[in-house]
Amino acid sequence: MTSCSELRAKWDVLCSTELDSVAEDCSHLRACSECQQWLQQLRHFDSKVSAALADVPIPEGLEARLLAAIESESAAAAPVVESPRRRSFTGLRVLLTLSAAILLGLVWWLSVPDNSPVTFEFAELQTRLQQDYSQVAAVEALPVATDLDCATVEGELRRLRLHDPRGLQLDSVAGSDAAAYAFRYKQWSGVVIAIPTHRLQNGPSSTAPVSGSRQRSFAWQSRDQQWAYVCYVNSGPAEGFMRSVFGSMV
Amino acid sequence: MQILHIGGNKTGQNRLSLTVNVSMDTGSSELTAASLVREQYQAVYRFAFRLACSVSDAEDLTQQTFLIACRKLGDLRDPGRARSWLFSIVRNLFLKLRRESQNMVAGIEQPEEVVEDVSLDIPVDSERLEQALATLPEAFRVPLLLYYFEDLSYKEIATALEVPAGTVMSRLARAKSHLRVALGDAEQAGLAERN
Ligand SMILES: [Zn+2]
Repeated sequence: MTSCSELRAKWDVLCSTELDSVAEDCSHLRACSECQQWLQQLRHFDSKVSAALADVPIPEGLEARLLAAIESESAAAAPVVESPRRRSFTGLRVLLTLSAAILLGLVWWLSVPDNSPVTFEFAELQTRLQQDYSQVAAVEALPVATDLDCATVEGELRRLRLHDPRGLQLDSVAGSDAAAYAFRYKQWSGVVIAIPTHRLQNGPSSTAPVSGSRQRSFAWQSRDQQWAYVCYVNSGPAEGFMRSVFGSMV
Repeated sequence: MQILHIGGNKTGQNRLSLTVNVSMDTGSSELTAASLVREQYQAVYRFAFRLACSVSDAEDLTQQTFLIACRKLGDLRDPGRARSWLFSIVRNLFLKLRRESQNMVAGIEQPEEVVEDVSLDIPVDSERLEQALATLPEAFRVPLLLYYFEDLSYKEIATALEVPAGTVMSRLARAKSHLRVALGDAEQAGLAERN
């Protein structure tokens, strides 16, 4: 019989999809509460490492430089020899890139309205959610590749993966951004949406999730009132999910 | 454009009621090189930085990645998979460059064997993680990054790196153990300092 430590050593190098199969199929795991706890800690730890690894400052102006590079590439309309180093670019190309960057920067500056969209940093939000709700890490580590099945969310959103949030543009306040995360956790699935509170005209006033309607949506705001969260629970007993994940708030 | 109704009762005091127009920039008909850059450049740069360990190399990798991606945009059938597609370009480009410069040597300066029973309940601080990564040889660091950024299985990592699956398993295990020991040590040192 394989020991707990041998099994853990095996699980430690499995990716999240493989771990999901373990969680579903392993008879030892079903019977061993210590291994269950260990696995949960493993997922939490891995999720924290992933978030910390994504914590890398972005060089200033990178977006404009990249846009300029692809612009000049398409303008040149010629096959580009793959260069392993940018410094090997010719002087003309550098000049083109620079002029395009300046032009793009200018266009961007002129076109940005006062209520420019908030750039949504996933790592930031992930850390934030985990700080507020430690159970969220466990949710995130669970199956995410499954197609979203949410009656109120259609089309592209069905392909949401929890670690790949999509920006939402709010109609009620022009130029606002939010992020949506599909989740699947034990018997539950649904979507969590996070929106900067100041972007809402009528945000939730409570800091505890309040059920919105028979759609089983819950809305609440963070204690510091910076974020509004909306959670759709599409399958599974909704109150049970809210208690399990956002337990301290219910 | 999709309409998403949140809540639905305008009079409910604690209820959020708004209509959201979901703008999917990566919808297949709208996917352009520029929207791909805008949506994904930060994630791509972060992965590239962790692989290359230098700002200028990471920026080069990011730029090369998007230039290749723009040329092959038609290959991306499912826009929802744009990030993993871009990550695979970053990874292949990085590995190609490494092979060319023959920098990725297996077996240089091995990290310690797997240390069992290290607590998983330790804080993960970016700075400490960076220090731990810096002391990890590339042959161990790269599989670890493919594991964390791309969520690849050890078999997929083995294929990408062209090394046996068993080697990847052992390197992954040792790399993860190395991180935990380093993060745990940092926490111990912090505790001792505070006491
Ligand atoms: Zn056990």
